[in-house]
Amino acid sequence: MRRVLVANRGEIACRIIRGCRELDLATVAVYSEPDSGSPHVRLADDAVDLGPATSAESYLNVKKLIAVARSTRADAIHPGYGFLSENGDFAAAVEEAGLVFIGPTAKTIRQMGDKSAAKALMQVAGVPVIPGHAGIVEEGFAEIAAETGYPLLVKAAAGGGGKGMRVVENEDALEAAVEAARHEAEAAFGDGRLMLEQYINRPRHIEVQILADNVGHTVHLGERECSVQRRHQKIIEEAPSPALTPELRERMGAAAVAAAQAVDYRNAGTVEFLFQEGEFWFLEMNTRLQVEHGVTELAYGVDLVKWQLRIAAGERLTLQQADITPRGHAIECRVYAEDPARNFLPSPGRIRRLREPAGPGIRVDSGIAEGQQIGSDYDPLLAKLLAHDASRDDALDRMTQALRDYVILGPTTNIAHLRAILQHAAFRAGELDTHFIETHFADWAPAAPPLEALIAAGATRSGGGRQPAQMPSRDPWSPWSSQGGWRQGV
Amino acid sequence: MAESYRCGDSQHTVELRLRAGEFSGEVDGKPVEGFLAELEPGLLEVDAGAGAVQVHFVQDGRRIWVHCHGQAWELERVATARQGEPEAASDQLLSPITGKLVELRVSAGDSVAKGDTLAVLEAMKMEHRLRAPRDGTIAQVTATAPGGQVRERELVVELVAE
Repeated sequence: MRRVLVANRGEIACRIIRGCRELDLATVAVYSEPDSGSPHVRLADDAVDLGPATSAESYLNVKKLIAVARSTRADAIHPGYGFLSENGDFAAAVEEAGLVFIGPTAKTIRQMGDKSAAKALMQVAGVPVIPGHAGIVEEGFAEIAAETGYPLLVKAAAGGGGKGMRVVENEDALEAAVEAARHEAEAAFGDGRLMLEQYINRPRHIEVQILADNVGHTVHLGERECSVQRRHQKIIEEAPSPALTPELRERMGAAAVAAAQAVDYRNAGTVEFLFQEGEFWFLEMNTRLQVEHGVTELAYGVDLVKWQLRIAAGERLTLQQADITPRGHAIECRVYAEDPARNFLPSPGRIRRLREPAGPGIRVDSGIAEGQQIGSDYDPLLAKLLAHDASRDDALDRMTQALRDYVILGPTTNIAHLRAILQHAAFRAGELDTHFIETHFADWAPAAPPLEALIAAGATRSGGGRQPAQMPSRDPWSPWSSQGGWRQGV
Repeated sequence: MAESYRCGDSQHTVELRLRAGEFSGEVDGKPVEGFLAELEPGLLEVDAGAGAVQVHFVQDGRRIWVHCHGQAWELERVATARQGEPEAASDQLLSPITGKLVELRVSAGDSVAKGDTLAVLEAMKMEHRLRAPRDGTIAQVTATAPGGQVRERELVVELVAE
């Protein structure tokens, strides 16, 4: 393995390219037309234009990706997350083309991709699953729903990331929920098959990271607490979870390893669980690198991307379970171009100014650059901000300060909302469940602009849109630099 | 001259005189004075009496983005402070996003019931449904055909006024 094509975009493409470079692997980036100026394109050794913005014609175009890998002499493909990362047909096509797919086998992806079949497999492997109807529901929803009992969850069999999922409180809402879930699942996965299961009312979302090599050596790297979500999508993740005792961690870790071994798992993967009052149930397995893999990397001092590459290259996993222990606490905030005050609506726009936080224990996994246009074609994730420190309290304080320092002007972002969450008493106390946002932040609105913001706006106006008039510059090289008249150290 | 800035639902008036690193004037009718310096292009230090605060800013036409106290705001300079401006009639359903018009389920003259889905929009892979706010009749619909792009706040469907 010498040259890796990264079949993704944004921050995760940058993250993977960095991992490749550290292992002295050459990289090929791909991009769609609106992404031509993106950081991942510049970071790679080689970059190839895939064509139009539409994912189907670019990042989801299997034939084109394989042709690009061939023409650039790449010998492996890393799918990242989203797009083709959990598409068994893609993994199979990559292998058939004589290339290495950096991830599990096509068979494993398909086994875990079908949520209904995966649930059955897990039950056999002794992993606890959510009670509900076994198998796909095609008709007779009302009868099966009555058997399962309300409230229940309509869930896409091909699902993931909260797409194609609807909670149904009573029979009156069933038909509309089934229609909406099916429509969304067909649009997102090209597969509208649905399942019905019991709705766990106030769960935590806790997931376990696993790594497995090609000869079946499988370890877990503890859990990530991912309960803070909006629209079923995570926005804050941390490791370890404030809810787990060492005993529970060991039980969940063992269940995750059993889940992975039941599908002959290889490479990095994540087993997601719902957790409530000391009980946990298998939700799904994500057969790929997770968005939030960084918190595990910080808390466990392990580079998951490099392990992915090494395992794909045929190396043995040298980590032993007994040696894997967390050190301190890590937290991640996902920075999105969206407006939390308007139901998290995406907010496209140009990044007009960008200043990223830095300092001890701070990591920014970013996919954006100043001047870049954030369009409406893809997921609005801009970057991930991570903080690591000795204890949870210290890590939260560190994150709060880093969020204050994060300047993104142009698109509306969720940064102020994230900081409000970090400062909320229930969050500080670790009292989390997947309804945290709707429970505590249903009416959140950003603060009105303070005096200093309005004065700055007025000052730019007085300057006619360029250098504020009569405003001294502290930059001695500035053409506007005045001859004194301003106070040092105001 | 006093300028008005709109920020979300709120509006603010700023009247500022600048002279050699000092400012004085009124913000929202209250007198202000203090010191101002440019640390680098796009970064001001403003001291309005509560200590020096760094303010990042970018201006483009009537729009100004500012960041201070760990938070960002987008301001729009408006001609004058208009008081009591009528709200857009709720019978006008505007697109909440810039994105794709996936489906348009009604045309002018159709009768609709409260809660009916009238149009389906999509941006960044998220689906948004425009629903009828009340029973009524469709006055007009957007000229954009399904599959086409609509802009944020663009009219998608309008009901006949009651």
